[in-house]
Amino acid sequence: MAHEIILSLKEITKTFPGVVANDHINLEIHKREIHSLLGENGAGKTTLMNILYGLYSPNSGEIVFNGKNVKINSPRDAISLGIGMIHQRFMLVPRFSVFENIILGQASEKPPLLEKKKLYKKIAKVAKKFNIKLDLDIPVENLSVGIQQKVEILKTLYQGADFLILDEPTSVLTPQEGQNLFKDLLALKEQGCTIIFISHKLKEVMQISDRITVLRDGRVIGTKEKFETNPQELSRLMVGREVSFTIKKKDCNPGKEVLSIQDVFMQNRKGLKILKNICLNIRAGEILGIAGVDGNGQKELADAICGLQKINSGNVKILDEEITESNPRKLYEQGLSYIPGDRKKYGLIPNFNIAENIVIKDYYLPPFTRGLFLNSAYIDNYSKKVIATYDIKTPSHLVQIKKLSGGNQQKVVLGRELSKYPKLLIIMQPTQGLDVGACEFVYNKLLEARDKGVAILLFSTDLDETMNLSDRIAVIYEGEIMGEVDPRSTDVGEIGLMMAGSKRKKANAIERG
Amino acid sequence: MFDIRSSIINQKKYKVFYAIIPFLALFIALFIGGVLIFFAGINPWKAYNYMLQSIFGNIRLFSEVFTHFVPLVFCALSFAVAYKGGFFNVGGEGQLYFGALTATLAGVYIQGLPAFIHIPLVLLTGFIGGAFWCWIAGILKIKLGADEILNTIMLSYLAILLINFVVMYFLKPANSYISQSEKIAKSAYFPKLIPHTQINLGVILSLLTVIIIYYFLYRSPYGYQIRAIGENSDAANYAGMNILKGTMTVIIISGGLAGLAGASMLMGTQYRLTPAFSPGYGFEGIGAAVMARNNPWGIILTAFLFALLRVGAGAMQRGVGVPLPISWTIEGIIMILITGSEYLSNKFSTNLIGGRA
Ligand SMILES: Nc1ncnc2c1ncn2[C@@H]1O[C@H](COP(=O)(O)OP(=O)(O)OP(=O)(O)O)[C@@H](O)[C@H]1O
Ligand SMILES: [Mg+2]
Repeated sequence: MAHEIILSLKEITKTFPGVVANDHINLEIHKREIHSLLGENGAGKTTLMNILYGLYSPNSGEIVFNGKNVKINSPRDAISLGIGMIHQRFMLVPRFSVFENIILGQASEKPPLLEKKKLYKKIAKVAKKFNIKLDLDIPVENLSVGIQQKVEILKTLYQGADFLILDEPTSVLTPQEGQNLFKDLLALKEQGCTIIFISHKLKEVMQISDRITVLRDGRVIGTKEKFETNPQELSRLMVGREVSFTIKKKDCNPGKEVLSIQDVFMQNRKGLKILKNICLNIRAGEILGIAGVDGNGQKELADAICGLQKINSGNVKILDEEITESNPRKLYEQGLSYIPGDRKKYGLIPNFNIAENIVIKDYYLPPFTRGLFLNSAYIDNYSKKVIATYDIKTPSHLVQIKKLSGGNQQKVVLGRELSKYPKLLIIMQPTQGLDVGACEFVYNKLLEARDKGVAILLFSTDLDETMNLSDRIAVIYEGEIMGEVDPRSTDVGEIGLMMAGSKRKKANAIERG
Repeated sequence: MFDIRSSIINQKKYKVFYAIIPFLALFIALFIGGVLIFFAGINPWKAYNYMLQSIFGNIRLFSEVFTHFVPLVFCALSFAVAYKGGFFNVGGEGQLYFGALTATLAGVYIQGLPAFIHIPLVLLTGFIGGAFWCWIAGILKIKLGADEILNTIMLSYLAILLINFVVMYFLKPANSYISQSEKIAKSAYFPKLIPHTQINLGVILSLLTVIIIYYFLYRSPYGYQIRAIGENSDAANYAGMNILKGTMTVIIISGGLAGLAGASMLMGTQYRLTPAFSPGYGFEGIGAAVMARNNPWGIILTAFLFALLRVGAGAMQRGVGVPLPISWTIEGIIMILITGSEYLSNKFSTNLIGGRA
């Protein structure tokens, strides 16, 4: 059966200083297909999509859309062709309602007037057509991330797009929200939309795509029909070697207690209880995984341990020392390392270069500082080592963070924190945005740290990851620990019930070494 | 896998483009200014010619440029340091006045010290005065959450009124009718580098300060911390930096630099405090800093350019009758063009070269 080709990219090349991000890319997208792009971190996926959306102009190459040769110089051009892009960082105004956000920036049909009623009806019609259920009157700030994404999608559809680009849309979603997104995407496809989907999660790619194109080092390695390929083959194409999907774990050999949390309560400014009666402990050389749907108090718990948020009562001890009166810097010096979930906001300074970001916690300590001044020779060498070890793709250690690909930005934070062996490592979403090879690497690094006696507190919304890495799992629900389970003797179903708050288990059935 | 060759060409193109911008802006602004001068009924060619001749033809007038240059450098640095630390200090003018006030007190009422003690002492009191005035704005922001743009500007007006009052009722010698303070002691005068000109110790001090601020901001751990806080205070906080202390330091340094502007005017050219002490260096310093993209080295250039324009404007007015507002317009156009070109070059870089906005 011949497919109608809606888009073909011909010999697209795009270079940045020191980097060829896209190298003579040829790609054809069929009408009404969901086409996934796969590739290692820095392979050039985002760049290619930015070109298609008019954010970058290619050095050379042609874009043929709907049979016509087109020049896309700005997102406006893209939209007028019907190409829309859902950004990872949503561009919504929190205080505005869904409706207001959707009409924001759209030209009115009768200029000084804004025919609200008419627009409202029009939006409702679009939503109905694509079977998107949304309350248009709620302020966006009250919506979960998954729903905000829906708003972005509706906005794009309302602008007339029927060719959608989604760059790692699931990286900010919980698995459940991810499944809801997929339902919506399939509905869109039914209605005639074409979708380009980017993700590092092979499971998702295998679930949703019709065809899959793999990029490596800026070049197209191949395009496969979904039904004729499998995750092993895809990852081999991406990375150029076999990737093992099973984690080899030595037996856990816990030492003395590193972190002990007792009866911790925390309220937010509105007086809502965020953490209730939390009791946990971790010993050296073990990984305690915290499973739970995002937003159930994980960030607050981690922040509290690191002295970034005050608790209302209870106590937190690290190596038998009370931390309530401490501060983040002192805790870091005592051997606490924290990798927050939102790395772009809390972990990186986009305008600083890689080296500057790598020393963000150590810059004032010798040998990073010598006398009155920063020791730039040492900093340069140190950061070059981190870049090499973590395989961060960049032409130089002096490139600004914002110029790295998403996954490589993640690697900078991971490399910074994992290069040292702290006594206690708190890590959230260890593999978000990482390609399969990098995931494997990070898993091994974490296990290596554990075997060296680091106590690790792992927060992840990816249940498989938590199950595979952890020695014990505690489940958090609405700021409360629902109980602890042994990953070897439990299954996803049981944890799932606990994560939903419908099952409780007496803590600590597991014996202590 | 890197095609280094093409990218180096790209980078070069980019650098050249960046360097050309200020000159392009200057030429366009002078051209538009010329048109305006023409419509004012004056031959623009003659006017510019006269301007150049009077500035560069005579060492005394040329040295006049440095009277403006010194306080402009200090004010621009004041804005730039604060900006780098995430504090928007637009009240340099008031801090300049307050620094001048405290410096006057130390210059007039402390007598009989040798110059090598008196000069640093007066500078220090100037620094403290400016720092104190900025500190108030900082406290208002930190304690009450009041926006610093409003704070600093309001405090600026307050300082100017306050100094008017103090000069009139306290500093004016009893036997004088003119509202001005007494002269500071000779021991607090900046020595002249070239006799009979305005080129004095202040020039060296201002250049020295540029160097110090550069090394402080870009080479010292404390400066690193300040820039980190200014760029992303959340990340700085998570990295263990003390945001409050860092911000306070920035505020004090920024205010202190503006205070030094006041002190250096007092010690280098004015010698006494008057109600209209500064012709707006505090505000013009912001322009110079923005135009230099808050880069200390760039500030030397932009401050010098603004100082030249000031002298040139005066000369054109006196010599060929070009109204001052036309000269101000030229200055305004330069600022707009440079800020606008910032936007354009960003776009240029994302589209042709790369750089996510
Ligand atoms: N604005 C830029 N300036 C300089 N280099 C850039 C810029 N944008 C991207 N690059 C480089 O281009 C290459 C491709 O980046 P891109 O963001 O397209 O990768 P990606 O495939 O989306 O990776 P990821 O999976 O990590 O998101 C990277 O090496 C990156 O460093
Ligand atoms: Mg990407």
